[in-house]
Amino acid sequence: MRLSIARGELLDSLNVVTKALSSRTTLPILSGILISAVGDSVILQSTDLEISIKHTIGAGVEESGSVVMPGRLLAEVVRSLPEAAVHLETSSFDQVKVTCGTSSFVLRSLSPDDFPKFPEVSPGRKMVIPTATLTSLVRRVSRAVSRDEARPILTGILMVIEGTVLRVVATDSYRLAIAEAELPEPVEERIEVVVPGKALEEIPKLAGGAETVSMGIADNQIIFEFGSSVYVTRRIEGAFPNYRQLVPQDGETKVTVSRADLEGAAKRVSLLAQHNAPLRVKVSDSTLTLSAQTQDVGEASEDLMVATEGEPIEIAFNHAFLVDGLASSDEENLAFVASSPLKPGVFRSTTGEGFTYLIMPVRP
Amino acid sequence: MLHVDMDAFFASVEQLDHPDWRGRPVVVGGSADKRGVIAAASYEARTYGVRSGMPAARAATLLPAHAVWTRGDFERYGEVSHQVFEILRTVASEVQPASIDEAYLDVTPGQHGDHPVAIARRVIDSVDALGITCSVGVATSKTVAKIASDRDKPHGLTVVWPGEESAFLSPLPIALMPGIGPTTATRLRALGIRTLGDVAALDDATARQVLGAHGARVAMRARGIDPRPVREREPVKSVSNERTFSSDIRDTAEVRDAVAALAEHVATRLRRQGLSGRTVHLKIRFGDFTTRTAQETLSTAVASTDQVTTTALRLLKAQWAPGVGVRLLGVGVSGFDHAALQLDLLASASSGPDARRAAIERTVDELRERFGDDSVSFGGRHIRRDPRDRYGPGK
Repeated sequence: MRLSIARGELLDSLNVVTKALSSRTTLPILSGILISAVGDSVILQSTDLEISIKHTIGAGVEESGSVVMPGRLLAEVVRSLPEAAVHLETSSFDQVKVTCGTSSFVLRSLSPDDFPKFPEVSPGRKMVIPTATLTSLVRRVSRAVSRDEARPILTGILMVIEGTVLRVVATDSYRLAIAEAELPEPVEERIEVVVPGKALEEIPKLAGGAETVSMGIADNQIIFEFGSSVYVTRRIEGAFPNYRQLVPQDGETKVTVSRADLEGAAKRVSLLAQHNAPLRVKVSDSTLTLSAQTQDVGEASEDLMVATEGEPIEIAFNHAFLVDGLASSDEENLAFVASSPLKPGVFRSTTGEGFTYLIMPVRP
Repeated sequence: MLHVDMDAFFASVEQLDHPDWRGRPVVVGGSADKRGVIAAASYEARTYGVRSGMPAARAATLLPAHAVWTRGDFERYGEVSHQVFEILRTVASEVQPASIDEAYLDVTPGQHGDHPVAIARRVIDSVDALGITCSVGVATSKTVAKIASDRDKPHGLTVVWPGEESAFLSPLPIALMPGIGPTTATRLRALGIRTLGDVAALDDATARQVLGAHGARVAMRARGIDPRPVREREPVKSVSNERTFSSDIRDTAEVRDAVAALAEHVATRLRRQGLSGRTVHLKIRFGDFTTRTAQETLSTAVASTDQVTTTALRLLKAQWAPGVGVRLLGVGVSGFDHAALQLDLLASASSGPDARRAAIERTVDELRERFGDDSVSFGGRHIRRDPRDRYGPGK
């Protein structure tokens, strides 16, 4: 194999494929990137057996061939090089020479025959999502995705496509976030799929340059295609909690509040909600009061003028969950609905943003 | 206030159950040829200088050949202890267990029927009827009652009348005061402080200087002033269990099973007491006696077997390399958040794996409540219980 490629383009490609590098040292081949030179392009591949990424770029190929190179090291080498053409050349059966300008590296390589085959996915259904839409949807729910591997289903984001509506749902069982957006093209059949949260958070970042992301759904896998990248991830099996049942439709107390003001106040008052001390939200007349008290440390409170409807209430939350929810939205105003100190409090967008964020209270 | 203290409790139970051991030195815990410490010694054994807490090897050099060594039947001791506490609860409304074999009773006159001394006599008689004995101290405060119960052991009743507290305490040696250990006692004696009267005479500042942060309180107690009430249950700060292996274990499955069994035990105790904690602790003592502890604080308080086990095993993975010999394992949970309990959105749902797991744990808890701790166990936890292993509450 012998090829030349612009340093910037190679680095961009490596930044994409390194996302699927395995950190497990038990299978050294998985910490490598498979580089294949064919015709006038180079294909880079990586996999940790859950996620597989393939990225194709144009290159001057003088001799076709393929080789597996240490992923992170190669990315670091290329990042350190000056902006010029990079030459890759196999120098023996297990060595690759990397040269750029006057710099020269020789890296050990592994056999491409040992590299796992890229998963062949034949998606039954496909749809196209504008990258900007996906980015904003994921941003609004990603904080509610569970990081607890003990309940795999909650580490995923539920995607529901009905007609032209794309809805994403995430919950870690303490809060639940829902965001909705319109798709340019309607989908014939209703689709429901649970995508690993980590994958769905990465894709909008990787697809930054591409207008749209194509998503294909197969029995066990989901394939995303954007720009010159193909990203395959497993689906998460199992029943996602029934979010419609969990979100109360109405409440005794309704408040409309400036999102940014409430977020600022919540962040300030949180400073005195240490050691798991709750952040209390009290609604009465036209005032919403946030307060927190940490034993032996001190206390804080802040009043906000709000439009209220219904009964006064006092309800307590984990401060981080509250701040997370408020920071997830871009809305100017949010509606806050609650009906009991032991039942969920719900923040909802007041315009068409389609954002719902439910938080379970803490029992003080 | 009564302090009831069983006399050589474990050893007395053994002598009750084994008539031919009566009148002979009996030591519980450890064995003459193995490692271990003495958990209890009968009064006959104490005449040879054997005390609880003494290394078994040293006790072996003191005791005659006809001494009885027994590993102890802690389930049986728990049973007898339970009977004793049943008796105590019939005579006083507030009973605070201080350990398996001692308790404080609130018998304040005017609030309870009989005279405190009459109640104390009744306790002694009722315990006698079980075939074992106790000693009782009667006083106006916990500290004085505890010291009094120890004055006339075994089978003694010591009454310190109101107003006589300081007269009773002042001639006593300082080591009798709960909270003054051997090291502190030695330091105090070097300063010329030999009796509780000397401690009582210290001003607060000096007391803090020679006795540490709690010095002023200790001095108050030495004067007979101790306002602590009898409480059914002191607020629990942590729940833990430890297991010492009679020979080191090193096999991965065996070590993991042992951690899982301890985690299960701790989680069951948590649920029994209606507690849940955010911090899970793991303690490992290796074959070379080095001890490592690790802890992980979770985002919410947990009490389920599953969550405690998962976290404990995660800590084990980080702290222990397979093949390394393990002498002791301990699992604990702390960080009880009485103040704020994060409610779970999905917990109320009656389906789903978590609800099922919770339902299973509830059923297991109920079965154990009715038929005993060994009546039912989770699959994969059928580990060999070496009777030589010592279980006990963690520190």
